[in-house]
Amino acid sequence: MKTSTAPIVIPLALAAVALLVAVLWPRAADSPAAPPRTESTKERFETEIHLPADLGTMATDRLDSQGRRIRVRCSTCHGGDVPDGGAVDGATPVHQGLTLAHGGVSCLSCHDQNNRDVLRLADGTPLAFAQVMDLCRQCHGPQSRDYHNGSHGGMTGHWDLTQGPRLRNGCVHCHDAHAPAIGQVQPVAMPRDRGLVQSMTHNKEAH
Amino acid sequence: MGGVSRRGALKGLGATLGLAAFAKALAPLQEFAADMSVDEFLQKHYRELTPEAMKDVLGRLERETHAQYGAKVHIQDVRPQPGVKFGYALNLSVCIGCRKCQEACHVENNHDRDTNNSYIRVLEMDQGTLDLAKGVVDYDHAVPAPGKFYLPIQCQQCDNPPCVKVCPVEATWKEEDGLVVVDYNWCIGCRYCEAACPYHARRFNWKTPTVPAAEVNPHQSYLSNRIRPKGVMEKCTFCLHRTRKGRLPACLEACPTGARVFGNLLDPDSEIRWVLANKRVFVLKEELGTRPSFFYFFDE
Repeated sequence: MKTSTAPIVIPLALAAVALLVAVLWPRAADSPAAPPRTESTKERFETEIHLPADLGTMATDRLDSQGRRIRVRCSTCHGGDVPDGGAVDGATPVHQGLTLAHGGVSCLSCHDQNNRDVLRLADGTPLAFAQVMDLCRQCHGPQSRDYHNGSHGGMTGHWDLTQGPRLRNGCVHCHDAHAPAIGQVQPVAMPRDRGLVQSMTHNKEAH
Repeated sequence: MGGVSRRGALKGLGATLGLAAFAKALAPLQEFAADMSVDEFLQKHYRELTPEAMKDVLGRLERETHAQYGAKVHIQDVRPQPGVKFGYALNLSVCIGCRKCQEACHVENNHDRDTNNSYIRVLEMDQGTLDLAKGVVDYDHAVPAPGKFYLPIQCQQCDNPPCVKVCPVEATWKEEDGLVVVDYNWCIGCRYCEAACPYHARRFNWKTPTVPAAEVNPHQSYLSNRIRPKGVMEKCTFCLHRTRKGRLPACLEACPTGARVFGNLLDPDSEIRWVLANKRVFVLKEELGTRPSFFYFFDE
């Protein structure tokens, strides 16, 4: 028996070695030391953050010659003397359409009492309206983190900033600062391929 | 002897029948002439075309598009960039199911207007489920609806693509930057790939697409959004005519919520790599071993 098993053992051993090589080889080939980084030396284009042009102003009930609501700077009415009474509502002529539905914050959580043309951070530091995103991120850290890593908020332009610029929406481009929750929308672009629709929804119809 | 011999008559009959059968066998070639030029019929596979031949092909396609659709278009052959492999991620916590991506794809890629075709299909799903077969694509109410989430599906650009394996004529293949593409002029329309794709990501052109001349997107590429002929397969190419020039895909630009993240998987500083490293991502039907380049995630 011993003499007859030897010829079997050798091919088996060879097969085991071949198997090991086959299993290990692709892993060795799949792990290059470093991915090519040819782009790092190139100049990068700007990422511009898009904010509404009328930040820091308020619509009034007065219309201009073209029928648009006249917008005024907050300090037009607000000196340092207007108390933070939480009396703001859409019925006030100068605060047309304004509703405050932003957690439990009040006006002076974000607006500077002494200068209504700027915002204020939680520690009282004045902040220009153009830097409003620094204000938002005091409370909305995860959203700010995701935003700055490109996974929150719409954008257009280039994924590769060495080839072109990018335009991003700022927080208040999409979220109303006074009522930031985004409501429902009607979807667009219904597919009209009936065969597709029926095949994909037969489960719904069966219920 | 003036008469025809029996042998001669049979010979004549045989020769006539043989000629008739030969003509009948060649008859389908006559139909080619109706909708296919000799140049198109003799065109080589995409990967065998020399630069000069490709230039001729692109010129011919531009002329044909102008003749058929009345639109002046510019068709390029946009090649992969070295050191780039594309990845896409989609934040399901943020997607509201508005179908803007589906619409943007429709416009960008010169899809048939009659069927409102698109490479993207948005499934409305019950929260807590992930059975794609129960997804609803023709929802028609305000979104996001309570208790639902929305799952846009397009080509996952698999690293192990079943659609490529089944193609009997190698009309579809995976490029160096990870994109799975189709040579529309080589495809025979057998639809094996459509059946093989676990994500229903491939589309068949049942009819010649109708696109009004004013709506044709003139910025086209041979392997992506040029208007496809009838009878061939088509699929999402991550808008390679845009993305291979550094631009974002049309579906991402259309997304109002920023649910979509696109970039270079080989760049460790890219946004797509940040998502893969910091979010709990998953792929669809992982158990099939297709190894998608398209990832989904929920916020924590």
